[in-house]
Amino acid sequence: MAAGALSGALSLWAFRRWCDTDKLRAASNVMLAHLMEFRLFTDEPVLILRAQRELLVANARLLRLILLPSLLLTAPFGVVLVAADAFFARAPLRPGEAAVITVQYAFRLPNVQLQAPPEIVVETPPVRARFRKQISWRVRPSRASSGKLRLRWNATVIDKSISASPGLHWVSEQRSGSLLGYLAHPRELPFSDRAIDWIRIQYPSANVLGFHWLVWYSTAACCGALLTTLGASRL
Amino acid sequence: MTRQSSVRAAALLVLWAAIVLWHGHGHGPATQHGAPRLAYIGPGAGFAFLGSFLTVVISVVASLLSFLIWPFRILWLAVLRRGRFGKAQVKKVIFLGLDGLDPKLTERWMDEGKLPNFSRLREQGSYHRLRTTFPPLSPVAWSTFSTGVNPGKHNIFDFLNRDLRTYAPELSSAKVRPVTRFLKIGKWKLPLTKASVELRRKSEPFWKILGRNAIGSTILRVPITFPPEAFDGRMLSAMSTPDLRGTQGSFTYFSTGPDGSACEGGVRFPFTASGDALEARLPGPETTSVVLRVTPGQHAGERRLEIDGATWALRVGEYTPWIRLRFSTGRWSSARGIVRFLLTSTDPDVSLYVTPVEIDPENPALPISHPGYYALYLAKLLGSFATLGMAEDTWALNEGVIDEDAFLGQSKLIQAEREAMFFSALEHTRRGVVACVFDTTDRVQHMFYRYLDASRKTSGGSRHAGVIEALYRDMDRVVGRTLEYADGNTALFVLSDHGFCSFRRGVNLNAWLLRNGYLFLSEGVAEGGAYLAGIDWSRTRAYTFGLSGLYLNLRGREAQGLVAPEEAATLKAELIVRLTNLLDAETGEVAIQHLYDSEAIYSGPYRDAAPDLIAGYAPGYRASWSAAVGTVTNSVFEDNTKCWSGDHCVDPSVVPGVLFANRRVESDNPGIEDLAPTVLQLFGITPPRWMEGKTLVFAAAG
Repeated sequence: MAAGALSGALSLWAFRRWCDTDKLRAASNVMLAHLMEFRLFTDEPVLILRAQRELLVANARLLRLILLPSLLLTAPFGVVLVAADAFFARAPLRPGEAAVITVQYAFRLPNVQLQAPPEIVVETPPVRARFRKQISWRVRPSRASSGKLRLRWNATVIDKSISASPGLHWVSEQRSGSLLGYLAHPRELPFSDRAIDWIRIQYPSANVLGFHWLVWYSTAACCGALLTTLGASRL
Repeated sequence: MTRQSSVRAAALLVLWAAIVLWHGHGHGPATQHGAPRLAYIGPGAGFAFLGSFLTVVISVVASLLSFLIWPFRILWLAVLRRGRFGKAQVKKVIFLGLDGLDPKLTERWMDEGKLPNFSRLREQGSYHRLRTTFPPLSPVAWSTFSTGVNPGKHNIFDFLNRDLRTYAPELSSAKVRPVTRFLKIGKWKLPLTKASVELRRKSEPFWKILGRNAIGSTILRVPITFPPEAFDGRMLSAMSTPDLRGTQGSFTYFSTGPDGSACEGGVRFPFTASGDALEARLPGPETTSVVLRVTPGQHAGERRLEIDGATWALRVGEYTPWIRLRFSTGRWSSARGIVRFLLTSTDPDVSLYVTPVEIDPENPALPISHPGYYALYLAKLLGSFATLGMAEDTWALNEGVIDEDAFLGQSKLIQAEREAMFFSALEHTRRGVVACVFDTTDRVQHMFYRYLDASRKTSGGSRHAGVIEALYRDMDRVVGRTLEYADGNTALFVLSDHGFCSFRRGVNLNAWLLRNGYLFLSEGVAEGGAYLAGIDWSRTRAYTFGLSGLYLNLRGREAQGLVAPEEAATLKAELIVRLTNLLDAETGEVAIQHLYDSEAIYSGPYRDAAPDLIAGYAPGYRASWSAAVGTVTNSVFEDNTKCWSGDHCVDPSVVPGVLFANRRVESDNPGIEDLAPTVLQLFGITPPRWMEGKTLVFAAAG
């Protein structure tokens, strides 16, 4: 909530700092006007087409006006959102409930094996989906634990963390071999082997007090922005 | 981003979250045994649940559908409307109305080469003096323009009419009926009815007839269009649109100086000092107000204006942009208005002029456009704009609250807004009608005509001596721009509803009636009050108010009528004889050229609402300011000392309008009532038989 409120306040500040709010308001006003033209000039298709063209132009103008703060906010917000998503979006495996482990491979993996900690039972042999280049196993934790899954083929070994617990804590859903994958799932370092793209554990979805964490985050961001505005107007 | 957008986003999110919570967690009664709450939620809850979701789903689906079926709708409309221009002689008609453009001045400056575009239009098309209405007043003449009938059929005879039961004057063009029934719950007062606005102009304007024939129109600021009527087209209301206080425009003036005299056209308030700052309350509708603070600026001649946390710079002689204000009218309701501020002085006194609180076009408290969102559309596209019927604040200049430069500055700002609307409408009209009336011409001539009147001390020498000529040149520029939109398939008409002349002396016909035994004051009353106060109706046979009408106190019509219907004709004839050629002994000039019997000049179902006699004043004369509001004074004649020094409330033969067309009009003596049937004819529609105007005859092309 605090991060959300801070994000709201920060984005408000950034848009005020780097956007011409008058131009922004004028651009959105013009967009609204062109939208209304669709209804006002229904009997003149040429005018409607012109309104659509001008709407696109106005949209482009609006995007240009918010480009700088948007770019500047992308990096910090990306980090915050990814971290929060990793923490709040997925819950650890629940003892007794099955989950699927999937490996996406780039090159064929002969004799691939999955080793799990003793508290987690690998219930199936590897199931291959050749068209998708995926191999899956079903696992089931017998009690709360956390440890490492070990994927082994030939002389290659790649580990992936796994967690089973009744509570909510940070879980790493996926481990990747690419930098982009790492940015999306930064909990585990990328592996260097090129034979596989990623290993993923299908953790159950989590919610915070019944809602996806983004709802709370957005609410907090809006409240943060609102409070900042109100506070600024009183100064 | 902006405060408003943040608030809206947060409010939507909270609303959404509340809806999800409401539905997601169920709200049926819990069982006694602590069983899950969803065990039974009842059919009512189910209907509510489904109903809420259905509303959302239907809205989304409807939006999507309307977007998807739009091309088919266009095709269907095209099929329905095919052939609508089949018999039309033109594709487009443009009416450029220049209220009060005077033929004498126009002809003079055309001949002097100062109005090249008017001259071009005269040479390539035609020019005539345009016969106006009885009386030559804007509401009357523009109503005749739009309907093609005389006032006896459209019911507009003056700015004011009277309530026959109470003799109280009231606005002739529109009536606002406030909410009268409320439900009181503790402190709360819930309205049980809606406020309504009634347009009192009768008959049917040409744009409605065109609309029925699938020809669209854009009607901008044509007088007597408040409230706007539904038709196939777009309309922005004009003259008679009130301000947020319900008046026809009342300014507010704050000052640290002496209170000064009472205001007729506005209200004056002192500032309250609070440290360095000055504070005041700007009154809004009913008892509402907005607090404003004026604090010192960075430089001399500058101040800062604070309202509700927002600030604007004030500089002497410089108008602020339109500022949107919110007046809280109840716990859950508010009215939105717009104003401009003008700092008129900072030394020795700080004085601040505020325009009338006009209806906010982005959130109108009363209907001012058709469709309702057309005003919003214009505001979003072109910026906020003056919505008041008579937006140029002539009373503020009359009462010395603003000076001539400030008045001109205000007029130019308003003119620029209307030009933007007009040319935007032309840009958006390929077929149909665009009609726009610019009234800056009327207001500026009213206030600056004294500089053209050689008999006045103010004429010549002043730097404002050329204001009216500059105004005509500016209108010439507008005509030039308009000509760019008039191709071979377009008929362009540039017209005015009346001309202008000087207003030096006022005539109080109530005073004359008093002196000559037609009107009596109540016992002990030496001089009557405004709005016919103090008159002894039991003895009074005739009275006047408004700008040209004279009424008989007719038995069976007026509540306390005295004159028997069979005596009316004799009394009217007697008054006509006595008042025609009424002489102003002080100047030796004739003040009234003719007195017209309304039975002879009006016909139609509303003739009974007309004045019984219409005064045709001579140039230089008009109903005095006191007579206009129905006051009985002791002197019949008085000097007009106000800045309002030009007028047109005289004999109609003295102040015809102008009619320019880009086609050669061969009709003799065209009248303003001829335009409505002409536009119908141009679009191949036979004018209805009740229209009295004659279709203008055009010369054959080539």
